[in-house]
Amino acid sequence: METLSSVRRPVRELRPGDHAWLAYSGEDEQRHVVGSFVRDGLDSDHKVIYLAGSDDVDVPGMNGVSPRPGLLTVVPLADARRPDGGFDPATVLKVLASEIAGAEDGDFPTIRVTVDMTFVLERPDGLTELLRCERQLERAVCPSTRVTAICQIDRRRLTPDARSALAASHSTFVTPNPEFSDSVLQIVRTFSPVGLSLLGELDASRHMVLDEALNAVLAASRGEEIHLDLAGLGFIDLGALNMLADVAARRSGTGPLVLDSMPVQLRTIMETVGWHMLPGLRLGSV
Amino acid sequence: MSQAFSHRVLPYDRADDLLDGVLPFLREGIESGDRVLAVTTLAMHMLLRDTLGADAAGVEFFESDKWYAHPARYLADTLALAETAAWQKRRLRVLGEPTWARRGPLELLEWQRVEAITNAAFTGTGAALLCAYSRSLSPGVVAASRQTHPETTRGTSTLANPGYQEPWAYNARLDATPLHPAPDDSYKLDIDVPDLYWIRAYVTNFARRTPLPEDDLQRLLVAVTEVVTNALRHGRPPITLRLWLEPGELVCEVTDHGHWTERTGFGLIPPKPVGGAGRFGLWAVRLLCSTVQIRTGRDGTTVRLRLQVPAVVVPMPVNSA
Repeated sequence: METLSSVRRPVRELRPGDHAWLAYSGEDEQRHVVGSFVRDGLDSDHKVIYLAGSDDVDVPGMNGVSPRPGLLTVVPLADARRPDGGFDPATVLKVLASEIAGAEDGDFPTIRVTVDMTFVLERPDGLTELLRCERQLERAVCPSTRVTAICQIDRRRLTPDARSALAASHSTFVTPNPEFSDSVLQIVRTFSPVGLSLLGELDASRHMVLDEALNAVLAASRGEEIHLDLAGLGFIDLGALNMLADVAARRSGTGPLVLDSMPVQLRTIMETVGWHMLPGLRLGSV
Repeated sequence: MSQAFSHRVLPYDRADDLLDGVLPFLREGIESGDRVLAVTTLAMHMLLRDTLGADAAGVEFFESDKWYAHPARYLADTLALAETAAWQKRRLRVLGEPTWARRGPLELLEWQRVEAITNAAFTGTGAALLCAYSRSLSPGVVAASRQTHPETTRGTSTLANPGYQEPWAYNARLDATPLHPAPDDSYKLDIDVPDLYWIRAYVTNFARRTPLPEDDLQRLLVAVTEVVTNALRHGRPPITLRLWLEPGELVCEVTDHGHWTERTGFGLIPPKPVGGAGRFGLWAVRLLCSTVQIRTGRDGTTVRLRLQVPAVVVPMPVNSA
């Protein structure tokens, strides 16, 4: 959907030279993905440049631990405020460029940059201006063997035109790190709707990881419907179906557990076993 | 529920005997406001409609062939109807004429098992089940009906069956007969490194070379995953999977050296989904396969899953003249 020409890649697989974009659905998704990017960077002694609304912002992924001095630079957006109160993207970029240049002179093997560009879109003629900024960033990042960048955009502000333009101007579309991933099963958090996307095959060999991922989603949810995107699920065993029904039963009174995009072979099983055996599970979008 | 559950056999020679038993049974139900079902052959439907006249409007007619298509699914569906009726303060009343002709020996046993288990499964539902058995059926079938039904209906009278057997005892007796051994040339996989994914790959690889339809392959994969999971959790190694073909059936067998305790459910009665989902594994396995055979004892446990395989017409080579 967001990827018209960009390659989808979990945030942990971004490499120097990647100029990626994140179309977040809300603050939860934004903090989840950017948090992974910042935390992994600091843990690996990468330079992290984070452009924020102000300098006392709550940077995601810090877990309350102060980074080694000099490792994290927060560039307050306020520095780019013009006398009329608006923001000047050119100034923002200039500040960023000088931070990147400074870091490159420093002793950092890798530099991670992340910017929420949504404010540019909100300006008059915002999309043109955003794309100009993106071209500048692209020039700064892509030839580099040291810089990885994520441009964040609030997906709710995106027109279809803006979507395709952004996809065309970024090589990579960044997605959350999987909650679990091996050669048989991948579990990825989804944020709009809130839930999990399951890919591969699910049986008793991996019930534990499903349980952990479900509990993480439940803990983060606010009583809304939980959706499981099953489009990529080739197999689910009776035990896992039981686990899902158990979760649904525990949540009775709050939102139901909705199974989206159930492949036809799974639907055959559900119909043979009988949906009444699994109360609380609901079939969602096909 | 004011009425007790009843399960009676109605043996008959001619249509007259049948009607003598069936008509009072159906009319009593219509008068009492029961949900009345007649599951019989098409010919019997015509006869009943003609004889009942206006009363026929109070009876729902179903065809035996479809109603008695699969033992576990039949039990699940009929039990659900009985429970729904009971919940509505009504009684489910079924005249049934099970399909016995054309069934192979193994199928016969499974349907006789269902007749026996019915006595345990329907307790408390208040349902009234009357099963018509033609005396022209094989003597074994008619004799077994007197062991699986507590009572016989003759006209308007009801007689206790002296040969009636307690359902679980009857079930245990059916399972006392050992299974014939797996053929020597069956495909064999020792399950020692249990990533279940590889077990499914092995089964798929075998099944794809048979005419088993894709839907049934998916059902088999869920069933075999469940049985192997149970063996890994509760059984004792070594665990072995075997696959082979018999005429009209694909057979998948899982053996281990464990022994099921008497408290282990054999999944013969549908579990009730009350207060969240309970374990329904073995019951679901029965729904997913054509037949499930279980033998457990000191020598170990064997679970055999059987799925019907459609006959495939092999195209004959056409010789050009």
